[in-house]
Amino acid sequence: MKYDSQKVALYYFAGALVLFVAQILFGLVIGTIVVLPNTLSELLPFNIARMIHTNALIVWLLMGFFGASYYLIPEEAETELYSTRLAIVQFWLFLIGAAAAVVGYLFHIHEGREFLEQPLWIKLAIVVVALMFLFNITMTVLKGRKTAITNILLLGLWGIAVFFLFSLYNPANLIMDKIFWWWVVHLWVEGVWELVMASILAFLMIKLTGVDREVVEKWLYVIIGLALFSGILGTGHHYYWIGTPGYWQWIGSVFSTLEVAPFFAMVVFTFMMVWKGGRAHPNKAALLWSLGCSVFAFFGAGVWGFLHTLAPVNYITHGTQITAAHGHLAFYGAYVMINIAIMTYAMPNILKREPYNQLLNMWGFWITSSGVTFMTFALTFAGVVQSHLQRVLGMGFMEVQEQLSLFYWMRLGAGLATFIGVVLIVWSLVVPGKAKQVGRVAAQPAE
Amino acid sequence: MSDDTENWGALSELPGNPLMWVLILSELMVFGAFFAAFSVSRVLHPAMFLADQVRLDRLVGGVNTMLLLTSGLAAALAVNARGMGDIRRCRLWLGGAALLGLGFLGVKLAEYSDKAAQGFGIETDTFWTLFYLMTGFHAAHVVLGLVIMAIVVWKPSLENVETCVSFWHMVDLIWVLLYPIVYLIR
Amino acid sequence: MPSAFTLLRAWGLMMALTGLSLWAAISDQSIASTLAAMGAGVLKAVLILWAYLNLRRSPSGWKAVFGVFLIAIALIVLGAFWVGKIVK
Repeated sequence: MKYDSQKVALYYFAGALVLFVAQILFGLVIGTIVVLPNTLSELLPFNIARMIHTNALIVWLLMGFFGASYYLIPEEAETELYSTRLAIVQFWLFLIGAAAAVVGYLFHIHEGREFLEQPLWIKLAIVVVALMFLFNITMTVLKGRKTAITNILLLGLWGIAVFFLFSLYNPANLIMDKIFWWWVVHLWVEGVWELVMASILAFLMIKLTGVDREVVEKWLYVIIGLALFSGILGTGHHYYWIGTPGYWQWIGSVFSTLEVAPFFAMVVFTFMMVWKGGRAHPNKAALLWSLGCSVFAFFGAGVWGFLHTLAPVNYITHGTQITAAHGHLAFYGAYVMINIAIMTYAMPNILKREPYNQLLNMWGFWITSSGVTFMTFALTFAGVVQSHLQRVLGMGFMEVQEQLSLFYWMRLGAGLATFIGVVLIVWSLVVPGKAKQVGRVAAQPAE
Repeated sequence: MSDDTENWGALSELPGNPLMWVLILSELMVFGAFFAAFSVSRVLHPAMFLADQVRLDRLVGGVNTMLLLTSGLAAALAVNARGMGDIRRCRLWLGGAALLGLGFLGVKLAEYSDKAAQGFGIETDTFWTLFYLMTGFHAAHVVLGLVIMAIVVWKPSLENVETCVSFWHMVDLIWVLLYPIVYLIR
Repeated sequence: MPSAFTLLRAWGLMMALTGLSLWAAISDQSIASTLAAMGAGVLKAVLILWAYLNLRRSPSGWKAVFGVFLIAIALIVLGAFWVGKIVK
């Protein structure tokens, strides 16, 4: 860490980790409700707990992206952050807004539009927070060095804000509603978030492997080119059955199939860089998370996405547990892992220490990854059985759900393992211990 | 080669900006998928495809093929002129290529309006959906190529010209495959 | 860079191929004319790569990539056509 203002990232990382734990806890709650339906039925209905599970996920990932940007933009731009104070104010505003939303959900205050349940004033607060953030980092980049990484990161972050505006647009026509509804989270995860992910990954590769910036930037351009080419029209795979014209089935099928390409390129990229770099960076855990991120994103977003993206297949599998399997592995692989990777890399630098708790952190990696992988398989099998019984044989929904209970129990078990892994990860990051502390003037290895 | 095009590994070996080739290769994948989709759909709906395909004018498609191929020749000559440092001639050839490209679009528009007048729209059936999607995507690329050409006429560095013309040739290449698949083979 | 003559020759050849495939398709709908149409298309694609894009000077890796692409397209299209004939 070279710039004092990078420290502000710590607020965001801490906030993100708190929400991460909350997200997983609520995941356990809804996983339990699925197998024991009367659990908390009066106090915390399934729909409310699920709302918190999904909202907390998005908010903590965003918070992690904010923290990552505050950490890496000063370093890339080679200048202090435009305003540290603004960044701190923005953090509290965001955290209080998120907390207020969650508390509101518990009292059944929400707008009911799936995933965009936030009351209007929360949405407006998010817009304000986003503007504060964008102003801050854009001013920082403008006064500093412009690199491919800062440019693409900025493009991605601006995209996040622009597409979020569509959450405010709620047309009465249900088809129009759905068309633009997909523009928020799905043009995020299949578009601009990929830019954020790729640029953070590129930053980590430069720092961890020592490969020339020039090489990394070229890969970055190729990856984001592929991501935007496939991702924007690929979002058409959400338009199959919502009342849009039939040609979306062709557009969505063809372009979303290609969405595997940027994720595959990221796998090749990270492994090539590590292989070419050949440098032994002391932060092995950060490297593990970076490599894991590209691999799990490829499987979760790429392969599991492709499984049900072709229109004729999706006709059968739509909205079954296959979707849930894909959703869990994709979010974990792409966006959870990139956040943990940058946190694992940045936190020792911010705290001015040697990399700490590496072993514990890597245990966290393996346990969480195993948990999510097992969950993915359980849900995939559940989805296949469900598709067959419900869509092919035409059995009733609830009747089929009975048949899936074994898989749901397995999912709950996997969720418990995931939770244990998450506790290890969070512990390894936020409890650095005292033993390895080095002086404030310590050299930063391989930065 | 300029700095921008060096050290891109295998992509450096192709003419023009390597990122254009990322786009071109992606386009080939997309159109390849559409060609396959079209062929398989024809097996699944032989009667529909036969009845609809008869409505297409093969001569119009042939004329458009020739327009694009000639435009491609002009574009290739523009690269030659630029390579010899003759910017004026390069611009003239690019202008010629663009005019022929516009001619292609004119024919295409006439074809679309003729089909629309006969009541064949993008949602009529699978054949027409694919016809409009494939030729429409292709036409959109012709438009994009013309836009790039306009920029390159304005800033005709060798790399820019090569980049633009590589894209233009790929638009040709897709069309010479699309033409027999959609118009000729029955 | 290919000479103007090379380009012109490629252009002439492609125009002739277009005419040929058009004539074959209009004259009859036999398997031969199908093969001619598709063959002419693939040959034109090769000429575009070879002469217009000057890829005959590029390393064999790229030639293989484009070659495989064209062969795959031709096989899929003709394969589907053939299956269609049998099923009918």
